[in-house]
Amino acid sequence: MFFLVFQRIIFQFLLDILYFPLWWYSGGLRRVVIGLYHLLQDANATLAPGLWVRHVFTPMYGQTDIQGRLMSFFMRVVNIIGRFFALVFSLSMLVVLLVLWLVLPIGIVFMIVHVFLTQ
Amino acid sequence: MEFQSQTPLPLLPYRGQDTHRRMSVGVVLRNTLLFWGMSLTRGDIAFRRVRIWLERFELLGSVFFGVGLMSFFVWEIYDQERMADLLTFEFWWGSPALLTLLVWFSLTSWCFLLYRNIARKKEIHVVEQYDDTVLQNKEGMVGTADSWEQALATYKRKKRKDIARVATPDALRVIENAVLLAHRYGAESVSAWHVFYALLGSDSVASVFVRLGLPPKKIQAKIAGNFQKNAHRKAQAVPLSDDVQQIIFQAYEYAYEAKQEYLHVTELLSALVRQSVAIQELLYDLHVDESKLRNVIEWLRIRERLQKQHRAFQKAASRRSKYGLDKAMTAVATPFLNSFSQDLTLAAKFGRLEACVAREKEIDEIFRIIEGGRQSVVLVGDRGVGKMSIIAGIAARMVEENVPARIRDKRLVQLSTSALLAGTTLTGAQERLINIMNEVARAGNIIFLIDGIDDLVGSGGQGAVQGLDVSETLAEFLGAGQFLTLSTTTVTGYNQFIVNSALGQVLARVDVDEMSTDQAIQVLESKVGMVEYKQQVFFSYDALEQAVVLSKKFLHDQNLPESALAIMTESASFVHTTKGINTLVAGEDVASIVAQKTGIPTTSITDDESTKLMKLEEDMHKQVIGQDEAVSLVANALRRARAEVRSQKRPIANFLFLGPTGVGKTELAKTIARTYFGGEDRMIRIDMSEYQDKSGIYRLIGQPGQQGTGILTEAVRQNPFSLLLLDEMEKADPDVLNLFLQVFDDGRLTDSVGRVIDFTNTIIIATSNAGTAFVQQQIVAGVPLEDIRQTLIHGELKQYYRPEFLNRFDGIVLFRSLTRDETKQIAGLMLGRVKKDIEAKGMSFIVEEAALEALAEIGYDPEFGARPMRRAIQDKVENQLAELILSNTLHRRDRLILGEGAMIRVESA
Repeated sequence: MFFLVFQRIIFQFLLDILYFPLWWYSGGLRRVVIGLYHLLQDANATLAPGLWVRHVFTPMYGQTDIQGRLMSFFMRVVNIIGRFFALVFSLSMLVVLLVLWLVLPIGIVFMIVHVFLTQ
Repeated sequence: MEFQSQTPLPLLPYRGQDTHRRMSVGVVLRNTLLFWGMSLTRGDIAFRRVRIWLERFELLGSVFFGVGLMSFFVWEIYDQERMADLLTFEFWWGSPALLTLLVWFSLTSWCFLLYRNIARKKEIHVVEQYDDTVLQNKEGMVGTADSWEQALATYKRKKRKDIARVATPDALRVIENAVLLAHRYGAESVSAWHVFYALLGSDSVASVFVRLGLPPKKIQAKIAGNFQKNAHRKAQAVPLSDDVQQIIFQAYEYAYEAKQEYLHVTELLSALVRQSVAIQELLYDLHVDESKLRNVIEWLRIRERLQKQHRAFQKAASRRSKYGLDKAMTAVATPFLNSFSQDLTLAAKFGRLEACVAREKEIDEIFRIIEGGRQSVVLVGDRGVGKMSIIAGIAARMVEENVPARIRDKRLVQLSTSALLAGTTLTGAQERLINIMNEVARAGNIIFLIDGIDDLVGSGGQGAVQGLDVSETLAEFLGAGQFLTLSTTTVTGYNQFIVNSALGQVLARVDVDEMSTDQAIQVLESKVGMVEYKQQVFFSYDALEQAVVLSKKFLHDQNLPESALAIMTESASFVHTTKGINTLVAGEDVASIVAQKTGIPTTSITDDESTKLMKLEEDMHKQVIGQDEAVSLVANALRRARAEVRSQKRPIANFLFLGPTGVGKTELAKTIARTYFGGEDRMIRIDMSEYQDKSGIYRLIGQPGQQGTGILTEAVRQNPFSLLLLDEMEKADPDVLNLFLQVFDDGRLTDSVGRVIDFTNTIIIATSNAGTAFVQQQIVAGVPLEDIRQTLIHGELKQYYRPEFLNRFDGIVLFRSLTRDETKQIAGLMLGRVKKDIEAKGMSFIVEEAALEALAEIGYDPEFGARPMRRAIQDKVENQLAELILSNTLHRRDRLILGEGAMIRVESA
């Protein structure tokens, strides 16, 4: 019984190590993409540029006179642009993270090979 | 409540072979093949346990290599003084030293750590989404799959569900432990008892049993005593018994029906108990029944749910503006309103409002009304039922944005009535209100809340502001539909001021009823954590249940759950001070708090008390001489009441005491008040001779429309646990007597303002001299007492009382005239009081038999009972004493002897 379990554990350990690269680009990638997507959703909910677009002609702070409406419109346009850029920025950060995930193992392997070759 | 049994699920035949160990049990339900996908052989269980250690080893190993290699690299670089090279391209790319490999290997270790850490956590699988449209095909659709071959052929990929994947680690461990336990004992199969034993080892189930006041270790020891060791079976595989297979799948069904995400140990526990009759019997022996178990399990769930909600809530709250603005910034600032109000959504955002439990139904109803287009809602319910708690629940949901579109992204603002009135006149307040309303209408993102709207409407309401009536103003704004209003009021407030006013037309009524016992227990369960934390004590389930049950039963003028919450908080601090920290608050502690508050014995009957109850007659005879029949009748009624085998819908007992004056009718009533209610001050005495005409009714139940004017109703309302003595009943007007018909029968009476007064905890004693002369005559003629009573009821008494009135008494007790011997005993009792006074002055007082004889000679009068004796003692004994004391002839430690001819001799010390 003990040996049987011990044998299986050793086998499992080897399997864990061998599975590492395969997992990185299959199951791992999937989990990372899902995680990043959730982060993007959070950012979108916080910045809410869509809501501002919908309300672009609604006066802010209930200022319904013509000056108020005009100022509101410009203020909202500025806000929409600002929020849009913030969202684009967070999206690009997420893309960078994703690319990092994809490139990192290859990079490491490449560097190790490179070090050996230049010796 | 008895445990229910469960309908067996149509499980597929068990496959015991090793090849099927990942799909040995299954069932087809809701067009899906549910199966237990985790092998339960001993080898696999052992492997999984060691696997956890392997995982830890892998994680630690990768951290070790990650940190180690990197440190080694830094140290080497520092040692070779090449720190400056680190930033050069040449160092890393051009001609990299072998040393740089350390960095790459370290990074690999970190990646491995990431890999193991993410992959270790299995992707979360949840219980199927509850589907109302799917019929529960537990029976009837059994034919969908009879064999594994058929099931596997029909249900593929998404039509299969591995329920082991949705079980929490704790639940899995319980099943595994049960299997291992069965192995250890070499059992034929894994039985429900093995699962029960394993369940008791799980922390959450152990805490359930601790809350029930049952130490899990003791139950485990009891169960283990029944296991038989069977050494030669040890090596063989142990299959799951039918019971255990059912338990696993039933538990999944409970999780599904309760819309839980995962299969928890608590569901296993419910399924186990319902499956096994033997375990039910064990629990009955331990005083645990279905409702108890269900409520404790609910307690665990509430705690889990509140934690989860709290996390989700915080995330949602972080997105909400703290300046009261909506997300699109269309709202108008409300400086005027802000100075007269409190922003509840803001309070909710910062977690200052308490959680709302078990009121989903009411909140949903309010939302339905709002969605349906009605502008305004009024919550109608008595004080303490939790109206503001519902409002807090709405505020929390608004923060979570889990509300109808019409009130999404809005503020809930509560008007402060005191701020509105502070430092201004009524017209000023009215003006302020109009300004506030205008601002609310303009702001556009405000839901206005008026707590106690009846205070602002109509004068003369409870706590109303005299003369202030803004119903027209309110109706004008609310009717125009410019903004939404939530308001609260009491039932009387609604009926008096709102229903017929202009406001009544615009406010949609939502009734908030007093909570049921189960709901109130759930509320307590949700709030008890805070109290436990503050007072550092722990509540047993029994304590919570008692708090609810006793406050429902005994605190009539308060409502659940507020009354029970107050009792709970008080018991916690009581236990904290009396027993110290980290102790358990038991049901008895709560009962003793209620007993202290109400003066009624609510704790369970102790041995001491039960002996006292058993010899109640003896005790009562210490104060009441003779009248054996009356005493035993009363004693029996008291015993029934204390053991709670009486009807709970009537007064504890109604007696009519009939007899001549001075025979002990009032004395017996006093004795009852003392023995049962704990003191003579628990007696409400009403002289019925004062109610000889019809107007007396209003003095008893109050003048119409005026609160607190009823002599009888107010007395009983303030002291619901008392003895009600109605003296000289026959002198009252017949219409006044009619009032009591209902009291005697239903134990309730409605007073002049419509409040129902509860008489179910009173003992009612009416005394009467009616027919006394007749009784005396008959007794002298030697007619037996029982016969006299019959003739009395059927004849003599009808002059005074109607038959239906007499019929409502539990007992009509005849008091006999006192005999000479009894009068002597009474003299002894009365002299006892004199003796006490003398002893207080430092002298002793001795009464000789001859003195009693002399007193009886003077004081015995069969017609007037014990009263002449009192006069005799006054004249003969007390007068002498007064003379002695005034003449200064007495000294401390003197012996005063009442002897022959009731004369006092003084023996100097």
